[in-house]
Formats: sequence, C-alpha cells, structure tokens
Amino acid sequence: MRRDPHYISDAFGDISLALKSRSLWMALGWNDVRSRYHRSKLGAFWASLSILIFVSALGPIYSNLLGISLREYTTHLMLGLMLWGYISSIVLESGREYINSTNYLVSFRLSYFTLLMRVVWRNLVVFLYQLIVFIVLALVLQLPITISWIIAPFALLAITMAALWMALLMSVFATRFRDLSELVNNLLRLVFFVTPIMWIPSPNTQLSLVADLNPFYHLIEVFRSPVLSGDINLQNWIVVSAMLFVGWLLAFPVFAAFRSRIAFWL
Amino acid sequence: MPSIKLDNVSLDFPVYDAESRSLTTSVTKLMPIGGTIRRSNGKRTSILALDNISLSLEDGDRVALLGHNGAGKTTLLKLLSGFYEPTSGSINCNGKVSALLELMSGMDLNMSGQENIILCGMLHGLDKREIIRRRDDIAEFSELGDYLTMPVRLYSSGMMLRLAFSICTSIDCEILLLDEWVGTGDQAFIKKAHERLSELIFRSAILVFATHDRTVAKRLCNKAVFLEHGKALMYGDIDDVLAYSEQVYLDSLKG
Repeated sequence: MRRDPHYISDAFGDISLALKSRSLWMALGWNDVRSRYHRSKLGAFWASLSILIFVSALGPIYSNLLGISLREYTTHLMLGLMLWGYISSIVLESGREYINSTNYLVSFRLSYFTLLMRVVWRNLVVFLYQLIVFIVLALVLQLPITISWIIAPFALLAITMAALWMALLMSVFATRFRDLSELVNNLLRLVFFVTPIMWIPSPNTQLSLVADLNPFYHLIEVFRSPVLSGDINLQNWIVVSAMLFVGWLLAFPVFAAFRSRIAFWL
Repeated sequence: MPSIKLDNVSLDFPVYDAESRSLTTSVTKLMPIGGTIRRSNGKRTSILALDNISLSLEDGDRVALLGHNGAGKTTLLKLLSGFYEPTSGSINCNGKVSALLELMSGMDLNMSGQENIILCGMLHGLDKREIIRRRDDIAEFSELGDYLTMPVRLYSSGMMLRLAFSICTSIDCEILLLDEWVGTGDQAFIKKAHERLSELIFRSAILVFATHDRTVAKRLCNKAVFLEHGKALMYGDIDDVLAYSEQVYLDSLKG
C-alpha cells in the first residue's frame, strides 16, 4: 500500500508547496531568530560573538599546541565551527520541529517541508551573521581574498542540500521515536571531535585518513578550503555529490512512505 | 464547483503512551463517549476515531456535526482540513479550505498586533499584497487602535480574541470548517462577531460546523451529521437529525 504512486506524488506536492511558500518560511525563520534574541541589544550578533569569544580563547593555545600559525588556526577553527553549527543545528532541530509546530500543522495547510525550510532559514540567518564577523576577522588577519571565494555560495548550497536530506530523515524518525533526538545529539558530538574542526590533518598521515573517510569533513571542506587556502579540491566535491545523490535517494522515499503517518505521531 | 466526498473513511489512531488495561475498554463500550479503543495482541493500542464514514457535500451545504464529546467531530474536521489522512477509504476535497479550529493558533505573543496580522495572513496562505489590502479592514474591525503596535502579550484575553477573530474571519475560502465557537469578549463585540461570522459563512460554498449548541446549529446549518463512536449514525436534513439525536438522548436516559 505504501508503494502506491500517490504517496510519491503527495510527497512531491509537499515539497513543491514549500518551495512556493518561500515568503512564509522566511518570515517564520526570521521570527525565530528575532524571538531567540528578543530585547537583547546585540541581537543575533550574539551568535557571532559567542563563536568569536570561543575562537579567541582557544586559538592562541591550540595553535601553539598544534604548531600551526595563529592566523591559519583561528580562521580554520572559526569557519569549521560555523559550518558544523549550521549542519548539526539543521539536523537536530528538525527532530523537534513538527512536534513544536503541531498547532500550525493543525490549523493551516502547511507542508512538512515548509517547516524544514523554516529550520534551514533560521540557521542560515545565524550563519550569515557569523559570516559578517568572520569576514571582519579575515580582514584583520589579512587573509588573502582570492577568486576562489566565488565558489562559496555554491558550496553553501550543496551543504544545505545535504543537511536537508538528513533533516528530512531525522524529522520523520525523531517524531516517531522520541529517543532518536538524544541519540543523534550524542553521536554528532562524537563526530564533531573526529572531524577536523579543532584540529588540522597533516597530509599523508593516519589522521588525514581519518579525515578523508569522514563525509562531514568533505562537507565542511567544500566551503572552507576555497575560502581559506584558495584551493578547490575535486575529491571534496565528488564525495559531497555522492552524499547528495545517495542521501536524497534514501531520504525522499522514506519521507514519501511515512508522510501521511506523521500527523498520528505528533 | 467546491465539493467534499468521503468514501468509507476510517481513521485508526495509534496510541503510543497508553497503558494496556482491559478494564477501561469494557467501561467505555457502555458509554457514548469517545471512539472505540482497540488493542491487537494486547500490545498495540489504537483508537478508531472515525469508523467507515461516507459523506458527499456540495455547494450550498451547511452541515452541523453533532454528537457527544469524543464522538469524532473535531477529528472529522481535522481530516477535512488535510491534517489527517484516512487510514482506509478515500477523501476527495475540491476547493480552498479554511479551518478555524483553534482561534489563537499562529499568534506570536512577542510580536505586535500589526505583525501578527501579517504572519497569520501568510499562514492562511495569503500573499503579502493581499494581506496589506486587508490590513486596515482587520485593524478597524478589531477596534484595537493604537494597541496594534504593542506586543500581543500585553493584551487582555478579550483583546487577543478580538484580534484573532478579526484576522481569521477576513480570509476568504470555499470550504469553511468551524469548531465549537466559544463566545467570550464583551457583549457588543459578540454581536458584531456573529454578524461577521455569518457573512463569512455566506461567502463560502460549504460549511462544516462542529457544535453542541442545537439552536446555533439550527440557525447556521441546513444539514447535519450525527456521530457516535466515530460512526455517522445519521446524515440528512437538520431537523430530522436533531429529532433523531433528541431521540437517542431520551433513549439513553431510559437506559
């Protein structure tokens, strides 16, 4: 019964309705950011500031410890934290999004994907606030601005698409199995330490193998590497493309099969 | 032409956090409250909230949903609004649906009245231009004046209700779903509100209205469905169904 074609077309309808209601999820996502920092003087710049505080405290110590120049380490760390925060928040927050928005789903004709786009949008806003501060930092540290920077928006798009299929899977299963959010939260914390964010793999070592086998490393590198070193690494893009292909091939049918059950799990 | 067609629709609702106790099942069977609670192998609990309902509604139908608490009235509305999909049977809904099930939903307490008008309008599926066109009308009807620039959390509950009501009755639709309309607020506003609601009902092609209030049902509707345990026991002319439900009530008193 679940392989019935109308499940597939309903799921496409869900996604296309979301793409049509762009102004809605942009407004909802923006409101989320605003209410999170409601009445604070710095507003969403707190998201930038907290990363900056972390980086400036850790940067001098770890760059010394790892024997890397301060400029290289702080920019690597800051961009890594920003991208990691972006990806992991989208995935984790999607696990609670339908549950938190039950009253919206009951009262309005909202598609589930609209709510995921709301999650993406609020995290994108935070990311862009952080990016402003990163650019200031890059200018202060005299990081060379290269032509490769133009790849960054495309990399961010690829990262978002990858985070979205993970969010789609997460949103379905975490709504049904309420333990999943906590489990994934713990797993992601482990992945954070395995992924080269706090550390930098030197080429052709065992550590570089650990990095290369980690898809999240490639996901971060498609953005970070062109911005920091001007290199566009083909291997990163191949892995990310494969992730997008396999991920969507897996996530979309799962979403289509269970979409009509989600309302019963709320 | 707006229409709604339900064919043998059932909704079997899984319950994941209920304890399996056999006593409750036997008690609820005797009383006319709620859907049938089902357990398979003593493990999986589910509620049969709607049981094999077939209905066909057309342009001009004003249908009252009558029945006891938990008979399936709100569940049926949520099915018609598209929130639930039937677990068996099929539903065919033609026309733009507007479901006024919870008046306050969509309101953000930290935002001003004006911002809430825009947000709720968007949630109802209007684009920015349409909302701006209706904004003044909504503001005027709510009579909130300068309070519309204040955060909604500073409003009294009556003021919130004014705003919410003004917003959701300004949305045009073909199929209007109304859940039990509770009238609070001051007397003058209730009168105004009823007029506005009647206009909205007049503008829409089909109305489905869940209620316990027989006089309101008779005033607003021309047809009715009597639900019990999720079954549509009777569907037809409002007077016939009201008479039938009266009879069912009297029978239940006799035991």
